[in-house]
Amino acid sequence: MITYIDKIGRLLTSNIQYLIRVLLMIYLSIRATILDQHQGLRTIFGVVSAQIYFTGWQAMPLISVLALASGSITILQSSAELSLLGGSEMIGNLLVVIMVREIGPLLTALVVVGRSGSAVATEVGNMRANREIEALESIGINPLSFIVFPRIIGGVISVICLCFYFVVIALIGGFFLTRIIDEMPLNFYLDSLIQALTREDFFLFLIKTGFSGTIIFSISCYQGLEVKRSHHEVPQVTTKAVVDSIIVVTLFNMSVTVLFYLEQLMMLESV
Amino acid sequence: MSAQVKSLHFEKLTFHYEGQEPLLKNVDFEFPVSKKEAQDNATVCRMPYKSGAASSQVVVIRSAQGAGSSTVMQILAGLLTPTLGSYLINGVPVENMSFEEFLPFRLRMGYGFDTGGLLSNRTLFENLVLPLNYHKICSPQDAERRVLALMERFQLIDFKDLRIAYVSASLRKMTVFIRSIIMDPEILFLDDPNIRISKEAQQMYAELLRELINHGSLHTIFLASFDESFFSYFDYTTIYLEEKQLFNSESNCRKTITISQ
Repeated sequence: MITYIDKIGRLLTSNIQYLIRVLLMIYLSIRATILDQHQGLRTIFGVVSAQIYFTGWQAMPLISVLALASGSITILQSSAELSLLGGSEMIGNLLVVIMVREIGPLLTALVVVGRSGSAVATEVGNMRANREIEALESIGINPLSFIVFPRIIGGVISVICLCFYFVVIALIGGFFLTRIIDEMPLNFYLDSLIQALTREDFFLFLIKTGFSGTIIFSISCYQGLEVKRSHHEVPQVTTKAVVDSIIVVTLFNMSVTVLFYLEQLMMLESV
Repeated sequence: MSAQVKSLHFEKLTFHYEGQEPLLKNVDFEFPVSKKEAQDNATVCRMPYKSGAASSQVVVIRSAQGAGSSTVMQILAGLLTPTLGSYLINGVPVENMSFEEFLPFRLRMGYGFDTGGLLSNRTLFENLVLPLNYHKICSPQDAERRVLALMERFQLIDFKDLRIAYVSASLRKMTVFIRSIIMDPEILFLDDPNIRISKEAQQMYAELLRELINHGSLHTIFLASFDESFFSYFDYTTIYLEEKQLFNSESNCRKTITISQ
C-alpha cells in the first residue's frame, strides 16, 4: 500500500516539476525577449512568419481533408438522426457544439502535434546536439528569445488560424459534400448555424486553440532543449514531446469543456 | 560594473557533467589576462584596425585526453556553469549573473568551437554576419563588407551562399574561426584549433590573430589542444590540468609574453 502511495507521490511530484520547468521556460523566453534590446521586431517577425508558414500554411491540405471528412460525416449523421426525432432546426446548435467547441480545436491540435510539434522538437534537439545553441550563446544571442519565443508565438497564431479554417471547411465544405446525398436547403442550414453561434462559442474556441498552441510549442521546445549532447537523444525527446503534447492538450480540452458545462449547470440551477 | 575583462578567477570551483566524475575539483586559480585599451564599436567593422599597444598573452590549457581542457574553456567563456564554487570575472561571480548581465562580457569574448557551432539553417555568410547585424555593431553594409573581406582572405568566398551541410569540415572550421573574431574580441577561446584544418589555413589564421593583437582589441588568447602545431606560432604560457586541478607551468616554454612577429 505504502509503495503504491509512494509511486503516486513520485509521479505527481515529477509531473509538477515538469510543469513548473515548462512554465519557467515560457516566462524566461518572454523576459528575454523584452530585455533583449538588440533583437528587433524584424528578427522575431522573420521566425514567427516562418513558423506560421510551416505550421499553418503547409498543414492546410491535410486539415482540408480532415475537415471535409469529419464535417460531412457529422452533418449527414446529425441531419438523419434529427429528422427522425423531428428536430431538424437544431442542426446548427449540434454542429456548433461538435465542430466549433470540441472536434475542431482538438483535431487541429492533434494534427499540429504530429506535424509541427515533432518537427520543432527535432529541430531544437538537433540544434542542441550540433552545439548551435551554445554557438548562439557564445555570440551573445539568447536562445530563449531567438528560438523559443518566436516559435511559441508563431505556433499559437497558426493553431488559431488553422482551427478557424478547419471549422469553416468542415461546416461549409462538409455541407456541400453532403448535398450529393442529402437535400437540406442552404438557407435553412446557414440560418440554423448563425442562430446557434454565441459569444461563448468564440470564447471557448479561442481559449482552446490559443492554449493548445502554447502547450504544443512550449513542450516541443522544452523537450528539444533537454537534449544534452548526443544526436541519439533527439528521437527520444521527439517522441516524448509528441506523447506529452497529446496528453496535455487532450486533458486541457476536456477540462475546459467540463468546467464550462459545470458553470452552465450551476447557472441553470440558480435560475 | 565595467565590461572590460580584467581578471578571470576560479574560486573553489568544481565541475562535473551529469552522472560523470568531476573534471575539476575544488579549483582555486587566477588566469593570466592581459590588459589593453578597448576599441569602440565603430572600429570593429573598419579594416585596417586602429593601432594599439601589443602587450598580449597566449595561454595554452593542456590536459590528458578527455581530462577537461575544453570544459575549462567553456566555463571561462560562460558557456558552462560550475557545479560548485564560483567563476569570477572582475571579482563578480558569473553564476549569479543573468544572460543580460553577462552579455557585456560575452561581447568581448570570441569562442572557436572544436566541432559544430554553426547554424545549420543559414549559409556561411549568414552565419558570419549574424552577430554583427544582431548586435548592431555596425551598419549592415559595413558588416557585409567586413565579412566578405574575411571570406575572401580565407578563400571562402566561393562557398558563401552554401549552408554548412554542403561544405567540407575544414571550411566549416574556418568559418567558426572567423566568426570567433568577427566582433573583434578582447579575449579569444580556441578549442582544438588545429583539427580538421590544413597547415596553410592555420598559418593564415595565426597571421590574422597577430594583426588583431597588434591593431585590434585582442589581448588574451586561450587555446586548448594536444597538438603543438598551432600554438607554436606564438609565444605562450601553459596551464596544466592534472588530477582535477589547474597548475601554472614551470616548464621552459613559459616566457614573458610578447607576440612574435
